[in-house]
Amino acid sequence: MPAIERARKPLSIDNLDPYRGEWVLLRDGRVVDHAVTPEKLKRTYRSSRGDRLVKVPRHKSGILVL
Amino acid sequence: MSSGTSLRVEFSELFSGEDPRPWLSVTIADATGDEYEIVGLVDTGSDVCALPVESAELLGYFERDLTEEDFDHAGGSGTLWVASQGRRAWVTDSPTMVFAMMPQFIEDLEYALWGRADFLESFLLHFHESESVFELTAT
Repeated sequence: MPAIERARKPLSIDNLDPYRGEWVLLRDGRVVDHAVTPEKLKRTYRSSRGDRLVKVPRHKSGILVL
Repeated sequence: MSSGTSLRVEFSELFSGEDPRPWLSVTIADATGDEYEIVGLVDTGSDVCALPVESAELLGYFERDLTEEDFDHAGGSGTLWVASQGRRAWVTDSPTMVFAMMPQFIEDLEYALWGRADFLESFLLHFHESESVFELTAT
């Protein structure tokens, strides 16, 4: 039987609404930095800390149709 | 890639007040080997892996590395930039799930999309919508 791993959760503990239209850097689910482009987060980003980059959509979406 | 390894991912409410969706962290290495973990949406309707255009610089692409092309989406059409060179990528929570990503960049894209080319062609994907879970399996 194949090994089943589980992904980490949650992706974010913080409310990301204040960062709409921006990229945020999440560390342990908390926002530790934000900027208009992810390039500007490079100085803060630490892959060894499990940092994650998320673009926060400008608008809250209800029903999403791509 | 480790054949047979599966990753079970619960849908996440990444943004407050929105429905839980199939978000997934993918790590992408730039040309120098620096790694960036980017959260995107698993999107079976997208032909390609697409990223917001402002992430091209982060991944080490310059204008000369990108070719402009037209594309169609559910609401019409637009322009995207296709990278001339791929990047090594893997599912962050299961690093043996490696794939070669040929990212395509779109202006005003709201978030990264992990689509059929590159990403989904490398794995088996099962959606368990009633349980708000999806499972990726290395082939």
